[in-house]
Amino acid sequence: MRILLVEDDPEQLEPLQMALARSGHIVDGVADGATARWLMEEKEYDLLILDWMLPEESGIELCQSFRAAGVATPTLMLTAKDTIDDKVTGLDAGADDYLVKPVDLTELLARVRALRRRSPLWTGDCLKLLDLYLHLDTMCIEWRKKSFKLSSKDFQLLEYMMRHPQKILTHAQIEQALWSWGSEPESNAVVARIRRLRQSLRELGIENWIKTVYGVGYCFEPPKSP
Amino acid sequence: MPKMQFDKWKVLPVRLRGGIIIAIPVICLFTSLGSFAWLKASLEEDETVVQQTKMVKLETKRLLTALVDTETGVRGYGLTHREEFLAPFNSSRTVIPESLKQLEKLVQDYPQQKQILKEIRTKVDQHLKILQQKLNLQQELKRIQGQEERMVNTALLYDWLEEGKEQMNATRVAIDKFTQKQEEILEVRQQHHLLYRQITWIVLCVSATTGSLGAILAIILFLQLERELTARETSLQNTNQELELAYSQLDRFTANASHELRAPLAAVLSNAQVGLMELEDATVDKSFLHQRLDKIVNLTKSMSTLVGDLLFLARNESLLSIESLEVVNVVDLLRSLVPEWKTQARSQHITLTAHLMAEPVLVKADPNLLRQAIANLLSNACRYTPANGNIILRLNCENQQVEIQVEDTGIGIAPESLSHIFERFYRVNQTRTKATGSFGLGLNIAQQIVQAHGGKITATSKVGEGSTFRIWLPLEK
Repeated sequence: MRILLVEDDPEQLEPLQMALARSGHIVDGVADGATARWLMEEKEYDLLILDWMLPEESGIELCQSFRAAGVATPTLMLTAKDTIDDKVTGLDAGADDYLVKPVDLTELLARVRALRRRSPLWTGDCLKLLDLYLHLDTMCIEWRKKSFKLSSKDFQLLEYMMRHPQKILTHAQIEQALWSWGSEPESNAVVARIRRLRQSLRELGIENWIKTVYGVGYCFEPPKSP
Repeated sequence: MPKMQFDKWKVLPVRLRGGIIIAIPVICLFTSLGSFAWLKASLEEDETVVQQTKMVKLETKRLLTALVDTETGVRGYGLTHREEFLAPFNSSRTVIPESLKQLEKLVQDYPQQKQILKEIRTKVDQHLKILQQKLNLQQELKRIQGQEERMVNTALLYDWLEEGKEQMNATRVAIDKFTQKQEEILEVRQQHHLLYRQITWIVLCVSATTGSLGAILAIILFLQLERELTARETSLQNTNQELELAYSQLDRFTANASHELRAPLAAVLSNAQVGLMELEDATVDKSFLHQRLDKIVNLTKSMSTLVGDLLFLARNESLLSIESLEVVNVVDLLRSLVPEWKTQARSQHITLTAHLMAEPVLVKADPNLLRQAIANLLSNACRYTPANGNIILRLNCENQQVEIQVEDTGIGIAPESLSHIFERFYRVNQTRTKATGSFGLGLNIAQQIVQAHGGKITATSKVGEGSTFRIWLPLEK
């Protein structure tokens, strides 16, 4: 899931970003409303996590303006403001959920999963292609009664590819989908990730599902059913 | 000395002082009006007396003339035996009783004069009687003799007349005395009149002076009072502004404190938890690191609870505002709390039972705060009840009071500690508190909430047997 996290305190932003990324999400972390606004126009997100107290534009104002502009992306308010009035204000501004800091990360991750389920694009907690299952909540891959947990990086790539089967995905597309905003992938990063995923799949006995289209990119192509 | 008296005046309540200020000119006005009315009345009385005396004088003159007329009439008739001389006599005879009657009316207020008038009346009657007798005699003589030429002897006639004269003189003297007396009364009255005129002037001057002085005093007192009230208002406004400022400062403080205290806690907690996640992936055994990070996570969580409790206390220090209170059904409120706490109790192998009634029990309350107070009691009960224990939540309703009771079969509280358990940060026993992870604010918060609702909270306990906490709230009719 692609998440936009707006938090002005780097001390809090960094671990949150890390924890979310570890659970297989691709997180763009920004420190102010203006950047968030720009990114919202540039990219599509599955979830917005907003801090209330931000420099210049508050999280509430940001949320209100997104809602006014017709943005339906699920939004989670993450703030130190804890009174009932604050919560009412936050939810009325258009947030779908409200969490008071300091928040237990396990709770935050559970709420993020809950918000994903609420999305109109949700198709279940599991992606399936032939006998291959990818469990989105546990990051586990299952193939013919064998299963194991993928690393978050493998999981992100596999999820992306499983959502776009039989399509040629260019290096640039993969980079844009998997790398968070502001982080520059090295020139051979995509190649390295593909190699690692192929290796992980091979351990389950899945071979040659990821085809290389020379000079262009890759294609996730499960064998035709017998 | 006057300053001291002024200070005494200043101590009096504003209502009384305002009343006195208004009373001064009003009293002056009414006193002057009253004295003028009284003077006017007595002057008018004097005037009446003067008028009466004048009329009495006129009337006595008329009476006297009439008397003289009778005498001359009879005398003329005696001398001439001519009927025309009798005309004045006859007319006077009708005038005299009229005149006497008039006089009687005029002097009815003066007993002395009345007495004299009585005497005059007898004398006049006698005089008239004598004259009538003489006249009758004359007429008899005239009828018997039938001779007009045979006149009565003049000498004899004079004798007759002289006889009546004495009577006449006595009447005259009596009338004179009467008139003189009336003159005296008039004189007294006139003197009286003069005196009253002087008094009027004096009263006028005095009331004008007191009135003016009273008005000046009233104005001075009023101005002073106004100054004082203005000063009071200004000082009230200042106090109000200060209070508002203090309140907004407190508001800002709690908002800022909320952010400032929570932000580092949030950072510590997330970092520690991310550290734990990283460790999960580590292949080598680093269980000691795991323990450390676990400790950081737990400490941060309890620190966060403490910050939350302190902020709650700071925000709700003062009494609840009336607007935030609404009519709440306690049965519904408790029913909504029970499942959550049943789960919590079950996780600690404790049985939670609730004895609630079916019919609604209404109280005026802030539902969120009331829920917090009851939750704190339930949380305490869970914390201090060992496994296999029981917690019973009861709701009773009697004497216009709602009683919410939380009973546990926990470790109990020693009698010497029981009176302190509602104090902030009070710890019954250091080790116990550490083991159960509480800061000693929960009961204080519960007490503060209940007291803010006009209720009370009590605790009874027996060490080793358990404790019972009761919340009493006034029933909403």
